[in-house]
Amino acid sequence: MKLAKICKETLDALCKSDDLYKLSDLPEKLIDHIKTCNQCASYRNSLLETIELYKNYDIKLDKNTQKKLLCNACNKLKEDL
Amino acid sequence: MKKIDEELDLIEAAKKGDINAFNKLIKNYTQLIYSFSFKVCRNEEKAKNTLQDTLINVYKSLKTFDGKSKFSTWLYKVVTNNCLMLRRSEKAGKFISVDDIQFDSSSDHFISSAVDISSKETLNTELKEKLDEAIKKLPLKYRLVFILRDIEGLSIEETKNILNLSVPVVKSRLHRARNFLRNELKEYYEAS
Repeated sequence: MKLAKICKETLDALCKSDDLYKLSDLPEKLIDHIKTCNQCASYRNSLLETIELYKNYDIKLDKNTQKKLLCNACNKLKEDL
Repeated sequence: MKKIDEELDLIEAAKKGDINAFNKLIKNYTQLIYSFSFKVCRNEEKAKNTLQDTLINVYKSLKTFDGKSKFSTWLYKVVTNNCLMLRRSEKAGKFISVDDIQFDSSSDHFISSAVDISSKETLNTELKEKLDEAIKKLPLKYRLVFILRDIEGLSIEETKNILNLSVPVVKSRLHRARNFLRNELKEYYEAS
């Protein structure tokens, strides 16, 4: 399916945007387009969802491991000094 | 403000060789370093190694921290370099361009055992596997930009400084990374 020129421009701007949430760095013309184009709106949503999924996928360092790693690093540093 | 002053005092003391001050300072950042390393290499053991190497390197190179950037931004730079060094040492003997770097996919075991989701949304194992597979396919140069900017929430300017790139290059890599990951997860969006 061939994309309309404005859609292409919007997708490109969305992928480069520094503010995908508020779109403050997008020209007014493209913000208006997103409001009326389902395809571009859903593309933006899927980008946001991708970011959220990765943000939510995290691991925690347990206190014992943290202590152990800090001790190891300190001992190594003391040896070097 | 008080917290920042406290941190600056600890940095100054650590610069003079006070290991206790260093310990106090870095304790607040171990989770950040570990979590960031994991996001880059998607492997718990490698993340621990990177954390340990980073602690040592931060202490040794703390003198070069001039306070012009946030301490955490400077720290990201050190961790990023350690992630790259770890990757290079795994491939010892061969020169690996950053452009060619791909993390291996032999570490899937961590998905069920080591991952603790500290999120609002609980991700199921299948989805986590999909997320891992997708990001592992992404070359490191794109992955780093995506993680620093979109996951860690650093600005384009900070990302550019950490990776020593220009703004257009950061934007272009971000473009590629976002689009690539979104396409890799297309099926998930269509199904939901």
